[in-house]
Amino acid sequence: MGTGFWLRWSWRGLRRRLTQVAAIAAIIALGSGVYAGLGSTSAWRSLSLDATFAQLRAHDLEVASPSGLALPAGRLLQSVQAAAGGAVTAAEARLIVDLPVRAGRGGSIPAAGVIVGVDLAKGVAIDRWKVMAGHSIGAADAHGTDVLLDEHFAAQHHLPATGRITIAGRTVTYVGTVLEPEYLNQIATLGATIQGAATRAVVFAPITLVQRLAGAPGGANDVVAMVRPGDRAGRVAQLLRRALPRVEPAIALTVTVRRDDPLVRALYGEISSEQRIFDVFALLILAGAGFAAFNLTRRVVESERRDIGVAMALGVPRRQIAIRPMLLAAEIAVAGVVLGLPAGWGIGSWVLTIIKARIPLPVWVTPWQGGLFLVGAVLGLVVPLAGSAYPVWRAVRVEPTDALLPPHLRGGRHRLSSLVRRLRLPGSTTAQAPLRRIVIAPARSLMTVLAIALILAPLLTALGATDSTSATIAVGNDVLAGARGDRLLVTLTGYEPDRSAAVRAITGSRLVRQAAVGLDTGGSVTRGSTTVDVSISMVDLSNPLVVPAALARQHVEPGGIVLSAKAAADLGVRPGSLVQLRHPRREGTGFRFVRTVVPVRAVVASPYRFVAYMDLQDEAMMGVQHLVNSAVLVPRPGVSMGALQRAISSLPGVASALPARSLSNTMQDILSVVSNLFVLLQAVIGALAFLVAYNSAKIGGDERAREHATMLAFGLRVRRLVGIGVVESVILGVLGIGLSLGLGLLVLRWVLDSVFPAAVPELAVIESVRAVSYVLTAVVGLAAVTLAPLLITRRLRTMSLPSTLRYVE
Amino acid sequence: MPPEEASGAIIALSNVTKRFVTPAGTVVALDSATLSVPAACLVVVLGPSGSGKTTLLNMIGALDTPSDGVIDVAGKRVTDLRGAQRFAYRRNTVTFVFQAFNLFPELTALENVHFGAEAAGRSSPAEVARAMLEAVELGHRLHHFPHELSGGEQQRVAIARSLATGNPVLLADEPTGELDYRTGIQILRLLRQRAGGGKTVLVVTHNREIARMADLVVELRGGRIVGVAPPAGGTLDPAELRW
Repeated sequence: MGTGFWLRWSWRGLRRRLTQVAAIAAIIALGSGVYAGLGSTSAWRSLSLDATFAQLRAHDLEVASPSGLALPAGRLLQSVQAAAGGAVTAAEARLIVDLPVRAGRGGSIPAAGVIVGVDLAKGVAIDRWKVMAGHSIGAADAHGTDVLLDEHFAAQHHLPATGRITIAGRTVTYVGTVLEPEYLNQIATLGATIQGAATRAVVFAPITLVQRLAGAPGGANDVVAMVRPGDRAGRVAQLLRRALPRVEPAIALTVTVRRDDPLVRALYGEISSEQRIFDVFALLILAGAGFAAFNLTRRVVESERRDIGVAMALGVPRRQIAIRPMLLAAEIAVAGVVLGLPAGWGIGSWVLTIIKARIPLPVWVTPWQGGLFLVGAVLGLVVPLAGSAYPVWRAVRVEPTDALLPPHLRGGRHRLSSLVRRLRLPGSTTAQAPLRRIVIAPARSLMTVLAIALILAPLLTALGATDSTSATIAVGNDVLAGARGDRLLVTLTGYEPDRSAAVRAITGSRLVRQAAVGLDTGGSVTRGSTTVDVSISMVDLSNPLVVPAALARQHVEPGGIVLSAKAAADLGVRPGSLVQLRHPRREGTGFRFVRTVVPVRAVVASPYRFVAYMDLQDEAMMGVQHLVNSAVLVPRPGVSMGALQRAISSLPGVASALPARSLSNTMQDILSVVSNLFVLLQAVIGALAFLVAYNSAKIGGDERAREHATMLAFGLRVRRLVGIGVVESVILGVLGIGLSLGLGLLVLRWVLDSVFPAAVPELAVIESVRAVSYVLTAVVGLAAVTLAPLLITRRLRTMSLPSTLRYVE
Repeated sequence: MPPEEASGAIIALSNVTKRFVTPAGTVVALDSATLSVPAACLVVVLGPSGSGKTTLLNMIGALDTPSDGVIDVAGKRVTDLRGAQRFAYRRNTVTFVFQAFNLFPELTALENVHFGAEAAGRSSPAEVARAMLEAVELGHRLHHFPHELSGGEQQRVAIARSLATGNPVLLADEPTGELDYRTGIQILRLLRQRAGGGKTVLVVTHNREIARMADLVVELRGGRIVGVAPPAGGTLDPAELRW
């Protein structure tokens, strides 16, 4: 028998089983598509970020005055160039100030503004922006009041391409929305001041306008620079750090290499951390789909085992016997791989859309991820071939008489036959049929249950992970914002004496019932080789307005630091342990980071690692006395949070005034990519569950064709037969769902214990699965297993009873 | 009034034709068949393979519909039945014995027969099932699964299942086709007894010897009924048959 013969035979079989082959192939395609689509994000996200930085000429180095103190722009530029000694080829001075911004109709959207003043007269060649809507500003606007608004903020609040905003009470026109490399990541690192990250509006404006707004005519506080081609930014930064104190001894300027910038690090860091989470789910879904495809292919070939028996009886060599089933497997495999390409592309595009919504980079580089697709394709090829090889291998190892046994005589040969015999079930024989079918073929039933469980388990894991992160954020916010959340967090534009007029205007507002001031700063805590970034709130530790009530009750002594439980666990410290605190200290007119050994005074039950408190009395450690930069306010009864926010935002010296509850939006935004991808996974898993149930019902229909025909010949209605199928499917589905819930929880625990701590170290995610997640998983599973048997109704209606009944095995 | 009632026949076919349309052309499986079968007799439909005898049986059993013509069975015009009526007809009027037995593999012998009684809506189906299996001498095999029974025993279970319905017309398609001579005779004896007990039994076979036990022999050739008559030489007891 030549190849043509086998191909012809196989082709006829394919035509008969086309729907089934396509459905199994679709399972493979979805599994490998998810694997390729989710597995490739870190590669193209990193490439896109690199390309964006290159296209917008992101700076190599940034020299800044940490206190925000402005120097004459020309002098600052000259100082940097002089200190660099020719290693810097281009440098531009900027004035960056924090001022409150209001946008939207009637200024209904308050935000913490970061106003970046650039010298338009000289042109912007470093950290250029990409106009996303509207138009840009240029040299002609150097002395005007037209500004540009950051695309993130505009998109988040659905603002038009152009419009009016107020900056510190002054109305200006924004003529376009833009993306700029330094502000690609709108979410500050969690180690930075969290209040500033809540709702931030970045505005790019002519430096002259910002100088007027900030009251610093001719001033600048920031220089961005490009280093000489071939030179290393790190080396030039070292050079500047050594030389600048000599050139500008009165001010402690900081030098940052872009790659070391916490915001840039956070951008690249989240790519790899999110990838770790995606990888887990990609592999889980691939495994579930692979197992299902293996099982279904095995059942298809198994249902044709009699053909193998006939061939064995005719003395056909085993190798030739395997050709037809293996060709079937090859057809499924090829179809799976072919469908996998668009599936992978589609899922990849979906992933891209989700990520674009969170981080709208101006440049996206999404090259063909050949390696990942190859892995998916290889798996797609291997799984059905293995699924086919197994029953062939089994069939050729038994006597031809056994292989020849028709399916309806093979079913009851299991040891469980005796159990079935003893089963005393209520109801008619047809009512008992579903359970008997399950028990009589335990291996098949078990495999189906396993396939359903493996497909559904990632759904519960994904839902559970979403629930857990939301619950964690809620707990964290209760710690930060208080259980009632009725506090306004105010950030000042700079350091103010705690009794200054500006501070008194804020705390003594007639709208305020209760107020407390503090000093917020960033820092890090080190113990051994472990370092944790923290956001330190220096406040009155006995005041429950500014610290969690449990901490306020402890009467913590000054002279130490209060850490979050997560930070304490990561550092391996407890109250009384000594840690090394890296914090800013005032030197001259600026600040320099220094290290001080301090004891851990207490541990606060916060899932946010960055949360840290010190007593306001300890501010001497920062080289300051009676200086504050933040306030917490509680409105008077009858005063709304909005009214208080509007009133406080308009006061001089206020950089931002935001309700404590708005922090949850920031945290949700941080996790939005993961959360949105879980939605994608839910859709894919629903489709997979349905495909598995459909295939299972279809194959079951083939296997039971004679049985169904006999029942119909005895006058049973089609709906009764479908009912039997539905009940059987539902019983298996319920078992599979039960198993999937257990498996899903186990995997969730593993993800939370092993994957999240590495991927999102700032959060101690609390395991919490809402009842609705269990219900949703069960509903998806039940819907799939209940609906699938209904799809064979038409087939039962159109079944040729004479030919099915007359077929002699 | 259906014509068969007027003539005392339980089965009446009038100009029944069945055509199958295939890619290779139209095949006439049954051509203008007209037949009248009296109640409580055993009819053997005889003919070589492809003569249309199974097609005839399937249409009497409402498993298939004729292209033309009229079929009346037990007072019902089968050719007018639609949807649920056809199911009800199969539940309460006719019953089948198949060449390949078609027992349910997950059910024991007793449960298979129980199914037949239940499907027809008989009261006390368990007692009926037990009695029917006793009647076919399988009282000792009640709890055996099909794969634990011999071919003859399986066919006897299938007959018991059909009889358990209590329906007046039993249609048997090559009931001995898969059996050896001795077992075949056992089965034929059972069918003969049923006919004697008031059932109308239609047996389709290509075995001329079996026709000798019939009350009436319908001979088909090339889709046409070429003869309807009692067997030449009278009706024999199944035990007298030889092949």
